[in-house]
Amino acid sequence: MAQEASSSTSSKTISLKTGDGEIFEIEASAAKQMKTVQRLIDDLGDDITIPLHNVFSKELPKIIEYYKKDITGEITKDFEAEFVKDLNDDEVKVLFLAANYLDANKLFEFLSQNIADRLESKSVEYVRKYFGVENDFTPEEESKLREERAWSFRGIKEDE
Amino acid sequence: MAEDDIISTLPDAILCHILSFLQTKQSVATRILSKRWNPLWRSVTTLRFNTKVTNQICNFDFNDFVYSVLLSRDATLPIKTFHLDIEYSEDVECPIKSITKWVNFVVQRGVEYLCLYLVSESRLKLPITILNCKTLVVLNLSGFRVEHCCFSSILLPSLKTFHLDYVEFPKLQDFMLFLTGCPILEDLLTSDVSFDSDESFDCSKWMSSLLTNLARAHIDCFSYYFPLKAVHNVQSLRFEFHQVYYHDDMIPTFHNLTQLKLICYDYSKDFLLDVLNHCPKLQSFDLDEVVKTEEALDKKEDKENWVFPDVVPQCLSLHLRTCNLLSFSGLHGELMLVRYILKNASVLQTMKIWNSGQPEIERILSELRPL
Repeated sequence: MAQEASSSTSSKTISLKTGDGEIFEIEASAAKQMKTVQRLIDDLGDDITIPLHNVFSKELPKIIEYYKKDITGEITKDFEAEFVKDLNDDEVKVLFLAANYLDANKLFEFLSQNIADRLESKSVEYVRKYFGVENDFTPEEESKLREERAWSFRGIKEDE
Repeated sequence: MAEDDIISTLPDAILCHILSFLQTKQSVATRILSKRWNPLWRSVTTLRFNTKVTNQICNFDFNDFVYSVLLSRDATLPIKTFHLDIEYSEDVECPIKSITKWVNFVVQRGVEYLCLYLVSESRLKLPITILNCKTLVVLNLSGFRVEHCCFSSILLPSLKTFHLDYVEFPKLQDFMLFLTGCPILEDLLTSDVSFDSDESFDCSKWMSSLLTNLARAHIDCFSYYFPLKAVHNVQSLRFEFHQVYYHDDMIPTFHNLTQLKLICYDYSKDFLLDVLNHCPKLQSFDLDEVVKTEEALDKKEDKENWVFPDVVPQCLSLHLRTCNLLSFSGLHGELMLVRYILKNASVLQTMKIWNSGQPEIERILSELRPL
């Protein structure tokens, strides 16, 4: 929970620098929610611009937007629905990876759910592409797996 | 692309975490993605089964699938979440023994979130192993019959959330005894909870210690009688109620209640006053009325000639800060109610009145009454 104004840390802002060199400001209390950022602050001090090599200017503003709402306790189901509404599957994936890197738990959980929702009835091939998975089964191995009686594939789209 | 490289370096635990949000049949399907993915689904500690069983073949296949999952997964890991949502068509026999076995299996493996939603012709008896599950934190049930409740047979020491929908108990006493086995319960939701017999019994000895941690209760009893005294320790209550079930001593004193949302099909002045008189610390009060299609058949309160007493409920004089009256129709009795509250609520800050079907009338007041 954000503290009320008397403590100097709550109104302090932290500067974050993305992997592509852009700088964004975030409240210290929001930065606390991202454990990776907080660790860097603990190591480097809160006056320095914190470098985030693996997060870029495309996704960081969205993450900051989420945590701005979080520290005021305003995250609702409606807000979350709106937050991901216009994002395509790849944009969500990028945010998810960033949330993982930043160790931003709440956003990570929410995006995990959202990714699962998006993949819910997608085909095997789509899921492979999405996770960048190389299929290292031989065609024989794969068809043997598909045929195993116990695991019926009802409800999952076939590719061909 | 750079992202694909990063994603393929994600540790198994994170991939399993995503899998845990999928239906189990989906997560099992990922075993064909690649050799690395092949065993991942076995480490997922969340199991979700959702299906509609329309014929016997479907029934066998689904049962096979559930058993196969339970037997093939990593036996060294617990099952933290078990979510079963099944609808059985009329001519399909609900496999009671199998479902009971599955529940027993997950209870023995440390389940924390257990959601069992069943739709079938006859209600399933709740597997009794649930009644003593030390690890259970959330229990959501729909479509069950709960028996075998007696003192000390029920102990759910970790249960914080309990949602019941369309659940029946043989006696009122069984339901109350169930609640005594939930000492740290914080969140209770009941909807269509019914009792074969609602004969009263003496529970005065342990009443005061019942559900002392209850923060929120949502009681939906439009169609059934509900023993309100079970939740008398609650802090925030949402109560959906049919006036026809009102009787004189049904409302207990809610010593801790600060927030009340009342949704009634019809309400009388006596009922309202009874409620307010039993909520001495009430700070926020919402009153809503629903219109039901059987309205024409039941005799409704005419809300005329309402005269409010001079004696004022303690919550009005001392605590009530917010009042919302929804579905306001401007009837005489309603206006009398508004006047009564405005006149007597010394610390009232906000009163909002919502007029259905017309632009909302909103009135915000700041009462600064010298003592």
